Parts: sequence; structure tokens; C-alpha cells
Amino acid sequence: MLKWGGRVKKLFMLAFANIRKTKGHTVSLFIMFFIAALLLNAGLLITFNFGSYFDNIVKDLNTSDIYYVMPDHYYNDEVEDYLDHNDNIIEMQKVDPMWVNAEVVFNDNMWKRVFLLNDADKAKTRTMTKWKFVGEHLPVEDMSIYLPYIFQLSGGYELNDKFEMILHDSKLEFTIKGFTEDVFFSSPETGFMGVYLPYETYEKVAVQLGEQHQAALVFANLNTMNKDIEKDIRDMLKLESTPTTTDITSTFFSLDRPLVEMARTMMAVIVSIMIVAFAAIIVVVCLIVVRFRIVNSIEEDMTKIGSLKAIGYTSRQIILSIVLQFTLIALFGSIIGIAMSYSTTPMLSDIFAQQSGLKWVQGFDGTISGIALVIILLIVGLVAFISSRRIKKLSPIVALRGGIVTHSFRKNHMPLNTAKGSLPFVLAVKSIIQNKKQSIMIAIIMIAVSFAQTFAVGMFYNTTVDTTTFLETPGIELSNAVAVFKPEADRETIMEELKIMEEVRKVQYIDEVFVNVDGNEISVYVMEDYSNKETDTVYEGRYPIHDNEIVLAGHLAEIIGKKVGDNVIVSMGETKEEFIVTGLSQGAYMSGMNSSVTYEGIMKLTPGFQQSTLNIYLDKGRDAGVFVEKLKHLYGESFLLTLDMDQNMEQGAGMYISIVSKVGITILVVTIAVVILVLYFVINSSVVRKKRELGIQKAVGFTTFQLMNQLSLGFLPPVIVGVCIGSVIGVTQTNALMSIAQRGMGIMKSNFIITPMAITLFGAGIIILAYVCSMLITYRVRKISAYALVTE
Amino acid sequence: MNRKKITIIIFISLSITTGIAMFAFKDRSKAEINVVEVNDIVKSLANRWEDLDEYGLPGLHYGMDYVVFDNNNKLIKATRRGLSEDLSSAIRNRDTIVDIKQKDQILGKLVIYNDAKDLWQQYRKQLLTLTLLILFIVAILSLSYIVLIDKKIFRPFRKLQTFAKHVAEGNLDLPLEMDRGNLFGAFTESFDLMREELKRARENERAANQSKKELVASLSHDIKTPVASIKAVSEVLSAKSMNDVVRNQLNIINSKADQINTLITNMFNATLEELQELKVRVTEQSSQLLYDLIHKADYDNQVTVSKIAECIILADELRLEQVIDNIISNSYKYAGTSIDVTARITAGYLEVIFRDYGLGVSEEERPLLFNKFYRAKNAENKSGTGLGLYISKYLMNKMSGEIDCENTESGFLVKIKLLLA
Amino acid sequence: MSNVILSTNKLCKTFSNGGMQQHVLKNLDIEIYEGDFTVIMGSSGAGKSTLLYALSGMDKPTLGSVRFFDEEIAKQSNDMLAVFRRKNCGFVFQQMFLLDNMSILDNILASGLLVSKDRKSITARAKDLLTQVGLTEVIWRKFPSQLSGGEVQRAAIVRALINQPKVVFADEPTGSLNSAAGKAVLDVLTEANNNGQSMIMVTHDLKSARRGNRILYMRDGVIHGVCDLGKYVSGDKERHDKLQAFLAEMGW
Repeated sequence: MLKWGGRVKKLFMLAFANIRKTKGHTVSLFIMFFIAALLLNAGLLITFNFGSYFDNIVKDLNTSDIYYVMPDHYYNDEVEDYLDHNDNIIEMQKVDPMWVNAEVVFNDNMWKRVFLLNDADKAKTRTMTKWKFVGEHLPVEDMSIYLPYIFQLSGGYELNDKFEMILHDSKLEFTIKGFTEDVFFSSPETGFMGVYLPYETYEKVAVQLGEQHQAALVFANLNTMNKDIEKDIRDMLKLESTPTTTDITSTFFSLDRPLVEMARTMMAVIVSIMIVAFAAIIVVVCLIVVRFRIVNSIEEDMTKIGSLKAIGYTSRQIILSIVLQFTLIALFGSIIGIAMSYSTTPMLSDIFAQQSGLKWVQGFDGTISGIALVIILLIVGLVAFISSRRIKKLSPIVALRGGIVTHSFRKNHMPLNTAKGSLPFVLAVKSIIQNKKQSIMIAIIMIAVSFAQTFAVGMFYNTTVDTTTFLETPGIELSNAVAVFKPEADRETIMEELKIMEEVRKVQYIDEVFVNVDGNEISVYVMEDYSNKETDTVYEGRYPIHDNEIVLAGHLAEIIGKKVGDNVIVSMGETKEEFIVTGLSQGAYMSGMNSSVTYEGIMKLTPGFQQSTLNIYLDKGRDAGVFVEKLKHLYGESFLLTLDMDQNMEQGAGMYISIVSKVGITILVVTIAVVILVLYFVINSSVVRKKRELGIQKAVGFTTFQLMNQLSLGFLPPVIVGVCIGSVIGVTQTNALMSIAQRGMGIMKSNFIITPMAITLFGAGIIILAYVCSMLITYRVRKISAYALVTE
Repeated sequence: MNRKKITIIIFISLSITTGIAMFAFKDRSKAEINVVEVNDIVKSLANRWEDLDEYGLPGLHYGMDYVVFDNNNKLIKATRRGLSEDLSSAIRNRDTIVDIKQKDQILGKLVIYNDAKDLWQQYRKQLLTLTLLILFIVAILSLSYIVLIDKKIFRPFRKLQTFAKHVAEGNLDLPLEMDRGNLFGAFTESFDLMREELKRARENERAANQSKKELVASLSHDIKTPVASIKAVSEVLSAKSMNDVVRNQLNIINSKADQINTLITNMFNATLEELQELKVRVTEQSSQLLYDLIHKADYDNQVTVSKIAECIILADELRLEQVIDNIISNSYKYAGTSIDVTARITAGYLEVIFRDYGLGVSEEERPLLFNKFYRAKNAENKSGTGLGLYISKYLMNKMSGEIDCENTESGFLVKIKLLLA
Repeated sequence: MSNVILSTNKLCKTFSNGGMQQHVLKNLDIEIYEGDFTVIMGSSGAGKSTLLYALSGMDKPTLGSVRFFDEEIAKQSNDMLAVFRRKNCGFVFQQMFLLDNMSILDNILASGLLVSKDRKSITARAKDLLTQVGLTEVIWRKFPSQLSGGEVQRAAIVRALINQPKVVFADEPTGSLNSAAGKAVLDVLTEANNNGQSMIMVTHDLKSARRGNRILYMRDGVIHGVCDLGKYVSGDKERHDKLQAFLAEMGW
């Protein structure tokens, strides 16, 4: 082993000399490794670190398992006593913020949210569910406020900006003095937005708002996660499970940490899965190319290997020098790629922050990057080793003669005297047969690449061109407007009048109430006839038809271990009924904890149930905003609430769309880059390998263009086959892949529109690109002359 | 490589078989009753209980056979005939019985026919098909394996067998082909090498034999001349001798010389019979070679050679020398005059004419001159075998040339034609 | 008689193409002596190069044995042969086969450093040899593609000599050179032989063959004849005639 040390230098010498010699290939390999390492590292960073980054924050801020919030006057002695002596509670802490329903400007839109106003100075002393500043904060002035980080990130606010809260009947004006982060109240996805006010400001606001905005907020750590406490408190307070008003500030509400964690990191998880999957594809493609390159370079350098062997280099030394050559390239490419991937994390962080409201700061992570580097180096080394292993069997004289072996069984396929077809075509077919392995490799790469491409095109199409399916993804019925009747309203008449309005296409009730299914407090949709539903979210089974049928969200069904055909007990208050599960639905709403029953079904539970939420569908092209205004104007008195759903959806889905479309475009760009790189590789080495052949053909009178065509045509069939297979896989499997990626958020069956037209177009694009590329690359054939043959 | 292939083949066939088996046994749901469908039927029945006749039976598209009984266990309706007629037969058939309820009030009973028998039948059929299919696959696999083994092992072996048989029969020209995997290794190569060496040895032996015979033939031919001289001398001496004893002895020499002559002629004839052919190796030669050859044969300096045109002829130098030797020595022997040699090019041939001024041969003998052992009349008392011209003609033919002779006014001429290259 | 360096016993080599066997070497028994400049001649396809490569451990014979002094090399593994070659053999090829991605000096050192770890002394030796064969310092730094054939071939000879091998094998070293360059290369080889270097050269060129002191003539995979000429002396007419007579007899 000691002898080795001295000899490694020689091998380095050989490796470096080789690298110098094949600059073009080295550079393109370098780029491949760069891309692979960048994607791999980024993917790994997101997968392992984004989640744990959030976990760390959760831990740092000592975030409780669950919180309960209720109007302060609900929190009576009985409740206090119950909470104090509950066995399930390990520890708890009660704080007293204020809560308001307010409208604020967010990114130039009006944004309605429930805000928890905390006393910053008091909240600093909180031991559970702490909060912290993000970035610097300024000394306080009169009416100062600290806002969640999301306001800076995508709300368009900066330090010292004015911040207005428009309440029902008043207005609060603040100056922003800092941005904050906590686990429960920082994301627009999770109910409340928590703002922190310095003591003086808090006192002022408290005086201004008065008693009715006082809330009781209880953080608690539980032994076992369940909804028992919430249920008991509701019972104690004699509250209905269903909030009868839309004003959440007058109800009892709870939210547990796992739910928050899921809601805030889901997007990152999906994107990371997409990136990691894509990175994996690219890494695999890179490795195939590397293998191809190695095999080729062995063939090209056959005589060199022969002379090395002749002068006494052992096979092991030669193999080692080849392994070294490629691992060196991989090493440098990967290091730079990994380094660059750190510059992409802030971008990704920004994207994720839109949903999570979390500023993800990724420093250098030696372990992850080390793993990424080691993975690439190891695989490259292994691939190089395996593909150069055949050098061992090569006797030096065989190598010197360029691979003419002692016993040869070569065959002449498609002899020109019998083959039909034009000459370039026949020659192309001949070369395809002769380069079977290369053709298979191109086909495989093209399958991978065009699959990724189809996926990307699908993403892009669904996020920018036709967003219907995308909007459906959360599982909410897609109507244009929603209106909620006041209990005393004249439903029949208004309904009839609405139906005959010219812009209205359809009006129907879809209500949502809370029930208890096998001990889980979940929301349930109520509809008379589900066949009228526009958004089909059931991915297994069917919607309920009869009064004892229920559809469960897939996620929920998984949790309670039910499947289609099983019975569940649904209860509301004291009433209990048995329902048959007829289907499983998907949907991200309430994190996949919902269900659907028929109107008759809910009537069995609460005979006094009254349908009150109208979903109004407008003709295409009608402005929902205008209609809502009209509605308010006409029936303002009868409605508790009118909502412009179009606008709502746009706001909600906007960031989701922007994230996914960005990822899609990235994949598309990288795909094209990879296609070009791969073609460069294959064609270039093929031209080098065929130099003699081409020179001879030129000498006997083939024109450069003929040769270019012949070469390019030779690459086309595997490209076409690969693209076709890849696209077909893409068309049929993209939804399956997305379903897996979105499973965590309750979407079991993804229904993305995969337009065969667009895919075909892009597939044809890739094929044409391949042809054009190969024509461009083979243009170097012009430099090969018969003269070069003589001199070589 | 081979092991890899076999592993891959085994893996593929295993996964195909497993896939088929999985597929065949995948659809087991038929054995279970779909609760949701039953619920739909029950609920629909309850809803239209009063007007069943009008609406017909619900849920027919589920493909379930069922019977509806009222509360008095009386059959109301059935999807088809031949189902359970009453509750007890339904129980006997292990049918599924469900109450039809409307608002806690039982309206009747739904009896879903248990078609286990049919299902069982179906399963058996499926099983049978599957078994046959797997048997078929196994058969095909083994068949292809046999073909493979045959191709990889037995065919090369058979080839080897044929080869060995050929060698045993002495047919050494058929080479042994190497099989793709070189299954027999160095055996193949050494066997073929052995064949080649055997062939070479045999060829060498044949050549040695041939040259031995040629040697004998030419030796015996050559011995005749000195023996003839001995005979002639002894005859002269005998004639001159006065002494009877000496004459007697000389006669003995003479008769012994005759005896030797006969013996040699016999031996020569015998070898010549065996000597099927004299080897002629034709090469391209310059016509100027003729000067040399004529000069060598002309030991009495009787020949005058006029200019020979420069050209390339096809000839065997050695044999051509033999021919010219023969012609000139014949002329010496029978004509004894000077010889003129002329040459000209005619129709693809170089024609060389040897002309002497002797008596020639009679016209009727002329065609016979080139026959084996023919000796002209004037050759009596002259030594000779009658083979010279015969061999010359043979050799000339072998060189694609011709030899001919003519009587002329002034004498006799021999004409040889040599093919131009 | 000097020592036998290389000897073969029933050496056979068979190639096959599409199944048809071709026996290039047939039961060959030869001996090569130390200090000799052995020349292998013969018509093309007679198996000269095949013999050369079988002798040098570049190729494995099909049957038979090759002994280097007392060491059997025909059955050794590829790596053992590689080590054998780096210590005992030098090679000069018709196509030179210098590594085109390295300078001339690096080419020689890539070979030299395999055996010796003393970088300094091996570099010195390389420079010494390069100067001896008439290559100046300017050339050392150049790449093979920038030099003429004769220069490259001389560098190749230096590479062959760098490890002081027991035998130098040359496969038509002047085959792709013009006569002037060829002569220079032959002079270098002769010079090395005069210094005691054993040499085996395959050629079908009379000028090259003249340099040898023992000519083996091959035909159809066997040695057809052997001719001992004695040391080369420039312009020795008698020696030249003897060689020509030998070749004429062999039917060259």
C-alpha cells in the first residue's frame, strides 16, 4: 500500500493530460456535473433542511402542541378549573391578547383576516409559543407595530411604513417597527395573523377597542393529541359544533401544531419532491452520459491504452487513471454546482415563504453537501470503474490494433448491394445497427428527458394557461360567487329570482357544518344533489345519493382506517347516525379533514337544518365582482355575507400558481439544456470516432451536407423513439406522480389537464431541436478532410 | 456476459409469470358484495316502494341478482327467474338478506342471490386457463433453453464430430470453424492446426515421391547414352580385334550392354507409368532467355541464332531447356548438319524454328514422331528411347505452347510456339 | 555462444474471423540470444509481428510456451505481464504510439517513472538519451504532433531504452519514415546494439535487415531459414552479399 502513494502522482499526470486533451468533453461533462450537483444539493437541502429548519424554529420557540382561543368571557371558572385539572394536559399557559376582524392592504389587494393583537412586552415573557424578530427592528414610537414576516415578503411593507387596519366601524393606524415570526400566527394559511404591539400602543388600542375584543388564548402541551378537550369545553359552554356566525372572533377555536406544520411546509415539500425527482432524473441522465463518455473515450484512446500497456502500465493503473480523470471533473463540477446551489436557496426560500411566512435562511450545510458530493463522486467513480473494467481483458496488442480481437465474429448488416432506399438513409440505418448500444442510450436519455419535459409542460399549462384543474386542487367547489342567507331571509323567492337573472347560469346550496365522525370534529358539506356539483373531487367510489351515505376525505379515511363500504358513526350533539362510506374525496381544504353528505342525511342529524350558503355560477366572462355588488345592492338585507369567489381564488391560488409555474419553467429550461448537452456529447464523440470513415467518405465524394444529414438521421430514430415513449409515460403518469407528490395535502388523484396537443408539439420541438443540434454539431465534419487521413 | 444474460432472462420470465398470476387472481372483489351498491338498491327500493311496478327494479346495472320480499315473506319482484323463492330457500343458499326500511319502519326484505356456485365455476375455469398458460410458458421456455443449449453446445460439438470424421477419412481440406463462444478452447485451435500440419506433411510426402520418380526416370534416360557409347565402342573394338578371346570378351560386353539397356528401358517404362506428370511451373520469362538455353544445348557449336524479338513469354525455364536440348541433340544425332534458329512473333505466340539440313523423316513417319517410344527408321543403330519428343510435346503442352516438325526442301525443321505473356 | 534470452517451444497463435481459423504461428521453436540484433523477416502475413508480440508478452499465444531466461511468460496474467514488460522490454512501433496528450519528455518519464522512483536521475537519463539520439532541448517540450516522424520515432526509441530493458522489440520502426529519417533511426538502434542492447526487429526492408546480425526468415508461420551475419559494419560488401544470397534462397 505504501508503494502506492508514489505512484498516484503518475496517475494524476495521466489523468490531467487526458483532461487537457479533451477540453470540449471535459467542459460539457463539467456542466452536466454542475447541473446534477446543483439540483441534487438543492433538493437534498430542501428535503432535509427546510423541514428541520421549521422544526428547529418550533423547538426554539417552544411551541405548544395546541392552542385554544375563545372570547375572554367564555373563559369562566368552570373552564379554568377543567383545564387546570385535566390529566391530558402536561403544561399550559394562558395569555390575553385582543382579536379583531380587520381588512388590510396586502400587496395592493384588500385582505380580510382575523388579527391577534399581542402585547409585545408581555408576550416576550411568554415561555410557551414564543416569538422572535426577523431581521432588525427599530425603537418604538407612538402606535408602533411588529408584523409577521409575510407582510414584508409579499405584502409590500417595509420598516417605518404605515399600516392600516380597517375594522368594522373604526380604523387603526400603526407604523411598522419590525417583523416577527412565530409558529401559529405567521402564515396566511393558518387562521389568525398575530401582530405584536409595544405596551403603550397595546394599552391605547385596548382602550379604543374595548372589552368585547378581549380573548383568552391557551397554549397547551398534551399527552395524547385529540379533540376531547375542545369537545368538553364546547359542551361546558353549550356551544354548537357549528359556528352559526361567520365572525370567528365570537367563537371557540383550536388549532394543533401538526396541522400548522403541515399547512406551512406542504408547498415546500411538494416543490422539493418535484426538484428532487427532477434532480434524480438529471443525475441519472448525467451518469448515463458519463458512462457513455467513458466507454467512448476508452474506444477512442484504445491505442493510447495499448501503448500504456506496452510500456508496462498495469490495467489497474490505467483504470485508476480513467476513474481519476472523471472523478476529478465530477469533483470540480460538483463543488461549484453545490456552491451555486446555495445561491439558489434564497430564491427558493422566497418562494416558500409566500406560503409559509417563514424566512428560511440556509447556511452552508457540510453534511448535506458532503453527502451530495460523495453520492456523485461515488457513483461516478463506480460507473467509471465498471465501464473501464473491460480494459483488464484487453491485451495490449489488441488495444494497439484498435480493438481487433483474436476471434472476431463481426457481421455486415444491410449490405449495400441488397439494401433498398436512398444511400444516406441506408448508411444511417447501418450506423444505427452498428451503434446499437449508443442508440439505446440515446433512447433512454430521451425517455427520461421528455418525461421530465412533459411533466414540466403539464405543470406550466395547468398553472398559466388553463388553471381550472389547478384551482380545483384544493377540493373547493368552484363557483363564481357565494352568498350566505341570514336566518330570517326569504330564501325561496330570492332563489327563484336569482335563477332567472340573465348572467346566472346556476344557483345551488352548498353548506358546510361541523360534525363528529368517529370522534373527529370535521366539517361536512351538505348538498341536495351532488350530480350538480361542478368540481368532482371524489377519486374513489361516488358521491352520496341516499340519506345514509357519506363521502370522506381520503386523508381522513386513512386516519380513521375506513374504506369505501365501511360504516362510520356520525354525530352532531347527541344525535348519532350510522353512515356508509360511499366514496373518498380529495382536497387540501382544512388539510383534508372534510366529508360530504346529502341534505336528507344532515336532516337525520339535525332536523332543523336550514340551507343557507348559496353557490352562484355565472356565465363565462361575467365579472363576479360586479355581480356581487349587484347582489349586495338588491338583497343586501337578506344576506349575511356575499363573496366574490373568483377574486378569492385568485388570491389564494396565485402564489401557489406562481411557485409551480416557476418550477415548471425551470425544469423546461434545464431539460432543453440537457438535451443539447447530451446530443453534443453523443454526436461529438461519434464524429471523432468516425473521423476515418468520414474522411474516406469525403474522399470518395460525399458532400459535407450529405454526411451531416447521414449522421443526423442516424441519431433521429432513437431520439424519436425515446421522445415518444417518454411523452407517453409523461402523459399517462404525470397525474400519478403529482398525486404522490400531493398526497400529503389530501389530494389523492391529481386531475391535471395534460394536453396531448401541447405535448406532441413540445415532443416534435425536441425532435427538431435534436435534428438542428445534430446538424450544427456535425457541421464540424467539414473540417475533416481526406488529407487529414493521410497525415494521421 | 452469458451469466448476465441468463439472469436477465430468468428475471424477465419470472416477472412475466408472476404478473400473469397476479393479474389472474387480482379481481377477487366479485366474491364480495359491494355494500355501497346494496345500500343504493335498498334505499332506492324504499323510496319507490309504493310504485315498484311502475319504476322497475333499481340498480340493475350493478349486475346483482336479487329478490324483493314483503313483510309477509311474499315474493314481490325478482331480477330473474330461478332465484330463491322464499326466505328459507334463500337462507339455504346462503343469500344475503337485508331489511328494507323507511323511517325505522320495515317495509320488506331484499334477498341478494348468492352466486357462489357460478363464481366457483368461474374460478375453476380461470385456474385452468392460468395453469395451461403457465404450462405453455414453461414449455416455451424449456424449448428455447433446449434450442439455446443445442446452439451453444451441441452444434459446435457436432461440427467437431464432422470435422473429426473428415480428418479420419483423410479429407484434410475442410477447416474447423471456430464457434462463437469458443467452447472447446485451445482444442479447436490445436485440432485445426493438426489438420493443417497433416496436410502439409502429406503434401511433402507426395512431392518427395514425385521427385524421386522423376529422378529415376531421368537417370535411366541418361544412363542409356553412355551405355550406347560403351556398346558402340565395344563393337568397334570387336571389329578391329584380331584376338578371338578379346573379341569374345568384347561381345560379352556388348551383350551385357544390351542387357543393361533392356533393364533400364524396363525400369524407365515402369517409373514413367507411375510418373503421372512432369511438374511444369510456368513463369513469365524474357525471350532473351532462349539465347542462353540454345547456347547451353549447343555444345558442338553448330547453331546460328538470328535475332529473337524481345518479348515476355510464359515458360518453365528448366523444362524449356529440356525441350531445346532434345531438339538440338536430335539434330546432332540424325542430321549432323549446322542448325539455323529463327524466331518470330505470330498471333500471340513466339515461334522459334530450328532448321537443319539433314535428311529429315519420311512423310508417313512424321505424325508418329511425337508418340511415346516411337523411333523413326533412320534411328536404327542410334541410341534413344523414343521418348525425347514425346516428353517435349508433353512439356510444351504444359507450358500452353506447341511443338511441331516439317520436312523441307533443304532438310528438316522443328517449330516450337511459346505463349506470349 | 551467448545466453539465450528468449526461447519458444511449440508456439502457436490462431486468429479467427467469422469462425474461419487462421494459424499464424505454427509450432514455432526459436531461440534469441543475448546481445544479438535479431531481425525477423518474411513476406507479409507470415506471422512476423505476431511472433514479436508473442515473444514480448504483449499478446498471449494460443498454445505453446515462451520463456524469458527461465521465466515462463505465456501463461502469466495481464498485470504480471505489464510488470514484466516495464522491467524487461522496450518497444518501438511503426506507428510510434507516443501519447499525444503529453510532451516528449513526459512521454519518456511516464514510462521511466514506472520503474524508478528517483525522479531526478531518471530525468537526467532521459535527457541524456534524448541528446544522444539527436533531439535538442527545444524538442523535449513539444508534443508528438508537432514533430516529424523521424523525431518522434527517435523519441520512441528513447522511451524504449529508458528503463534499460533486457530486450528492445521493434516492429518495422522505419516503416512509415522516409529513407533519411529511417537511416537515422536505424543508426540509433545499431548504436544501442553496439552498446550491448539486445534487439529484436521485424522488418521487410532490406536496409533495415542489413543492420541485424542474425536473420530469421519466416514463411507460413514457421521459421524457414536462419542466417548468421556477424556484427554490422557499414559498407561490408561480403556481408551484404551473404544476406542477399540468403534472402534469394528463401525466395524473398
